[in-house]
Amino acid sequence: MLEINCPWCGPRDQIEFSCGGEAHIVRPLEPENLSDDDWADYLFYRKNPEGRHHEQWCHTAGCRKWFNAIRNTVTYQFETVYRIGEDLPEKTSR
Amino acid sequence: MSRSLRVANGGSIRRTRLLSFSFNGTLYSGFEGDTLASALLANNVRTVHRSFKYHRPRGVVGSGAEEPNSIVQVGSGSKATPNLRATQIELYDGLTARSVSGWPSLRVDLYALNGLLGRLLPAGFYYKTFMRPRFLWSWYEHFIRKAAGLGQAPREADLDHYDKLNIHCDVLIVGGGPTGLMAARAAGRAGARVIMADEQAEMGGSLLSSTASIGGKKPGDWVETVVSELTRMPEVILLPRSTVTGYYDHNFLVINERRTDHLERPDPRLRRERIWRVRASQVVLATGAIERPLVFSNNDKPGVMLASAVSTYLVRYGVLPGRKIVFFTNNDSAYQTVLQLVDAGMEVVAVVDVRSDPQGDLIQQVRSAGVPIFEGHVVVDVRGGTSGLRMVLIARVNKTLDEILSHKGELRCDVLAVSGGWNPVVHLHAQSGGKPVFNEECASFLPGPSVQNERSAGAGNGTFGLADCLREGAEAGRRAAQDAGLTGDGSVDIPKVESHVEGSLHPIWVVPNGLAEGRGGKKFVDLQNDTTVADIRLAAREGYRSVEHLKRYTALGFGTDQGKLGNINGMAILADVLGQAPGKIGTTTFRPNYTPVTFGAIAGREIGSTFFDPTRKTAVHQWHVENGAEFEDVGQWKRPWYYPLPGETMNEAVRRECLATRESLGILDASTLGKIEIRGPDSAEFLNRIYTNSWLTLEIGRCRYGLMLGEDGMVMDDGVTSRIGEDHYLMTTTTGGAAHVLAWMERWLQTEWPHLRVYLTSVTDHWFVTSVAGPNSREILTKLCTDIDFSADAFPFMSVRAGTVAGIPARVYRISFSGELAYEINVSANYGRSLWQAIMTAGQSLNITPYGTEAMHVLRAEKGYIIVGQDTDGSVTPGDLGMDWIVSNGKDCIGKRSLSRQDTRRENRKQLVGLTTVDPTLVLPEGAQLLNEPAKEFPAPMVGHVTSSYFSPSLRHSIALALVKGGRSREGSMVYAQLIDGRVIPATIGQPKFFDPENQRQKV
Amino acid sequence: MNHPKITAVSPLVEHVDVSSQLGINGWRGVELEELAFCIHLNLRCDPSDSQALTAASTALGVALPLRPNTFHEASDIRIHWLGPDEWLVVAPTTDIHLVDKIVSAWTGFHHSVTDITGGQTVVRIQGDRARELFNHGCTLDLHHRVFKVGQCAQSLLAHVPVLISRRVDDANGTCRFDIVVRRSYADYLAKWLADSAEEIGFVNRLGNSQQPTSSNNRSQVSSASK
Repeated sequence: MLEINCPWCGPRDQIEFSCGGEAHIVRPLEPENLSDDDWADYLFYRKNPEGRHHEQWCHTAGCRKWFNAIRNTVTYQFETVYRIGEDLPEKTSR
Repeated sequence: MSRSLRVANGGSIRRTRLLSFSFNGTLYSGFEGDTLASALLANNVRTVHRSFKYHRPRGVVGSGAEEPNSIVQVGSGSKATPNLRATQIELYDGLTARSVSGWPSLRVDLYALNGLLGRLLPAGFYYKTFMRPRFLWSWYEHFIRKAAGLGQAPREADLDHYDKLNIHCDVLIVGGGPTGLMAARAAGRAGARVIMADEQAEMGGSLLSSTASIGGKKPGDWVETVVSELTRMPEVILLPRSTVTGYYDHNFLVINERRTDHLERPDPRLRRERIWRVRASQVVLATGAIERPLVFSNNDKPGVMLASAVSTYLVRYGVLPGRKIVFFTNNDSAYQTVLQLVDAGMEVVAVVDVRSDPQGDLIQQVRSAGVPIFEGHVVVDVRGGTSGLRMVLIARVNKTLDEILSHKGELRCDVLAVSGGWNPVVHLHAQSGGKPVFNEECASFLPGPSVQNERSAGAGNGTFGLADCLREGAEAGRRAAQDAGLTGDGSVDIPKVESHVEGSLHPIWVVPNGLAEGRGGKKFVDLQNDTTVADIRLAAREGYRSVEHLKRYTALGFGTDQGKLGNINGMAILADVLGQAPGKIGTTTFRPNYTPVTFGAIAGREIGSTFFDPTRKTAVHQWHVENGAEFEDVGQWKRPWYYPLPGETMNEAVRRECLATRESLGILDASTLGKIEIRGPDSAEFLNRIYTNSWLTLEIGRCRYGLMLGEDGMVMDDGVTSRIGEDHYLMTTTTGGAAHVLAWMERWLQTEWPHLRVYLTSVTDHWFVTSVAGPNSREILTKLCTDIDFSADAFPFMSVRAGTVAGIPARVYRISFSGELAYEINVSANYGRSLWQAIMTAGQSLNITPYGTEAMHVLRAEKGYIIVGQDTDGSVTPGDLGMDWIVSNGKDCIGKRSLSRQDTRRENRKQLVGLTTVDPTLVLPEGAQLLNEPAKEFPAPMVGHVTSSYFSPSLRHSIALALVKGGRSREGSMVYAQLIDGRVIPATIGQPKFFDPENQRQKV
Repeated sequence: MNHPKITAVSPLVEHVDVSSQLGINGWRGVELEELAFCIHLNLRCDPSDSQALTAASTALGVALPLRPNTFHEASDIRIHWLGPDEWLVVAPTTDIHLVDKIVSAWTGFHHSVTDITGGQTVVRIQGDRARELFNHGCTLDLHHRVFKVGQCAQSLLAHVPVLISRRVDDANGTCRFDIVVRRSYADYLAKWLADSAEEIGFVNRLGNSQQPTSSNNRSQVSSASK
């Protein structure tokens, strides 16, 4: 059972959250102008890294706010969390 | 057999409280404070178990969680608990226990034949022998299971209650021995919120079997002093009978507290077991160490015990496990037990020490007490039977301990106490993510560097001297409190204890017996799984070189004891065969749980229809109950399914409800639909992006049906959204989709479109909603509401009005899910019951009929209205449903681009159609697979499946909705539903609309 | 026509299990009570708009809390922080002009005021062992050093979404928490509370709420009638 630090509410138990998968996926502005391949790339292809992963989480049972997190998929340690719209806390290699 | 082994005095048992108990049907007596094991030993019961594979007689070996042999089933019927360790069962009056193996009885076990055939049963025997022919496996399995089984799961429902408790603390201390007590004292004095858990009935750990004074006090008195100080600290929780069973991520640990098993007649309100779910800022692992047995021929005979267990039975329980005891050791700690026996006036026959020149204070003391010490000797074999040992055979061994130099002869004895060193309990450290490191000095694994916020101390950390444990415990507690952010003074004085110089241990993994490998009596490594030295060597030769593979091939370390005694020896033997250092081999994974946990504790109170999952009820739930409704679960909601009159079947009730609604007036509790308020100047633009159709032109007071897609183009949810005011909309969602849709829309707003000025608020629970449907619905609304004009022109289909219904402020929507003229009345849920009753009263003359979800389904299926999640399954596009018309061409929306992907454009996708069976009375089962022709052989090509199916009372015909490949172009052709029972039901494909296809009725 | 009697029914007024029960050793660990028929309003506005915040505090007589997980209280009105741009107002039944006050104060600002009075209720849990009761189904740390008076938190209690607020300092009397629970879950939660308090004992007043006679609680239509 993880303990996740909501950027608004502070540390809470994992059961209050839902994970939305990879973060920083930007919806194409003109989907109709994309090829099937490019659309599929946006729609289906995800990184699934071993190690540092940028994820989007929602504090579902709390403040209902979505936020970003960098979590290590091997150790399950959260490196950091940051609010939507905030810059990444540091340059990363994503 | 009846000779009592209880010593005249001593021990911390309460001798004034005589208890009677039964074991395998025989009545015995013991004292309060006994364990089942100590009481059995006191009654001279030597054989408590038959082994797993060879069915050899086995006796009590240890005195705690490590015990591999005395595995028993306690109680009977619903109170039965299998696979408990007799060493951990506190005795109470009337306890009944029996061995979990041995057939027909412990003394005469027919399967013991396996023992004689032992050479034919090597490691992997079952895998190798019973694999072929495969079809016979189930036949083999029957006999193997009967021969092998440990315990029996009770068949009756468990009447006990179990629960869970979530708790946070600054410092969790695992283990209440000398190290843990000092840690708790230090952390407690620093002001920390402390939890200290110990698996035993009382705190004290090794001190409970010690006779050495501590701080000038008897060990028991010192423990009492510390415990009473801790009890007075308001922030300290002491948990006896509590095993920390697992260490998980982010310093989350699980404790299993056993609360009533030791009580003869527990208060029925007490929960039998409690799972503590602990989030600890810091953890101190003061888990102690388990003595390691020695591996020699016939080392499994009843009467061979751990030296530390002999101490425990004598000092704590006043039981002398034998009259004539021989010790066999490779280290100094067993000499402590020898001295305890000598001090108690008992006879110690001799000490057999593998070391040729053991040095140390204790050895000198034993020598001066006149106990013979055979230095440089080993026990090569033992003789004995079900009632104990008769003798041990000893021999001189070479310096490297791998060759017998000469046989010395025999020593007559009834107990052999062995000590092969100590294994620190590193399970929790390993579970926390740490990697245990092999330590040459104690020839075992010690905790490695910490990964989480934990520290090990005391014997669990490889620190074996009492003085050192006390110091290390205090330091660990003080620093843990500090690291948890406490600033209080956590200093404690270290009590004075006697210390003595100890000689070093000489590891010996397999004791030679002077015979060729594999000859002589079996040398057992894992007693519970009957894994021998020969098995491990064979496995290594056959290529099982990883310790994890070795485990699975030989069963080493499986079972209720999880290899607490045997694992280190087994790994070292594997290392030896492979010519590697034990540290290189490593350990198997230390998985939770440390000791077995009952299913009851794991389930807690989340059981049965009341507490398995939360249930949601509408404001008129009680009315439905009082009026005989049968309920259906829709998500967490309890919805009335149908309202049978006395003597009515479900079909009859549904038929009556459908016809009443079509002919006059039905009333439905529709409160469970999800309802979301949408407010802000960009609401219409937001809806435009979320729904497939256009929302920019909807007028105030009008409603529109919308379809929501996932970004993959598949139908996700649907519902009617109404424009209440200028920048104000109310969206309805499916009952099951409400929470998901809200979170989904919030995600788009928060992450992708933060510039849109829109607020979303769930109002599902605020509004009580009832649908009044049928040709007479206008009449009853007109009766109940005077401030709304219900005429067709003033209040057209798909619009909303505010007014007062039955004296209650309301919003009335003219929408229909039945195809009839219908109104949905929304009032604050506090007034739901009043509204419902007012409508029922006013509708009496119109034969108003409450209808449930089943009739609702029939009515909507007659109209071909889909239910998302029933007629769709996440792979269905609007086009598949024949709803291309609802996807606006003039704008983008979520999922729209996916509708032009190659796969979603493809011909021959499954499309929604209507089916009518050739035999009008046959109702197709939902989910039935459809074929183009009756199958001649299987597998047969499937062309679709039935999604909804009912008997339509209005049409007097069975109807169904189905998804059929290319179905829309196949109108009039036949499909065949192939049922599991072999029947084939033919049906004709048609439009998914059966009743009033022109939608005249709802628009009147 | 004449309508039959109109009565408000709180989420727990028809709660079936209203018995009290002593725990082991005669304990009376907690008291359970419904504070029914309060007005519940959900407020949304931009927290960086100081004018909107000022307008709200003037209208309500108490400022919207901006610190996460806190509530402000004045003259029987409590405003709870739910999110950075979301608040819950719980006010006495009699305060029927509350909606109009806040709506008119926020005219011209992007905002949302939603009456959810019928959708939730307040359950008061007080007694020496109240925290223990929560701990059976809630993972929050409610220790008095951590969860202080004036703090509130949304979480799950027995898997049910709730808002928990700490009302009174233990030192000044009984340990007291109020929880806001959605109407549809209230009966389940009441059953769960009684079951979980079996060992510690409880005085159960759930289901005994007085029904107000007024039928003038019209606040919920103010928005519909626009």
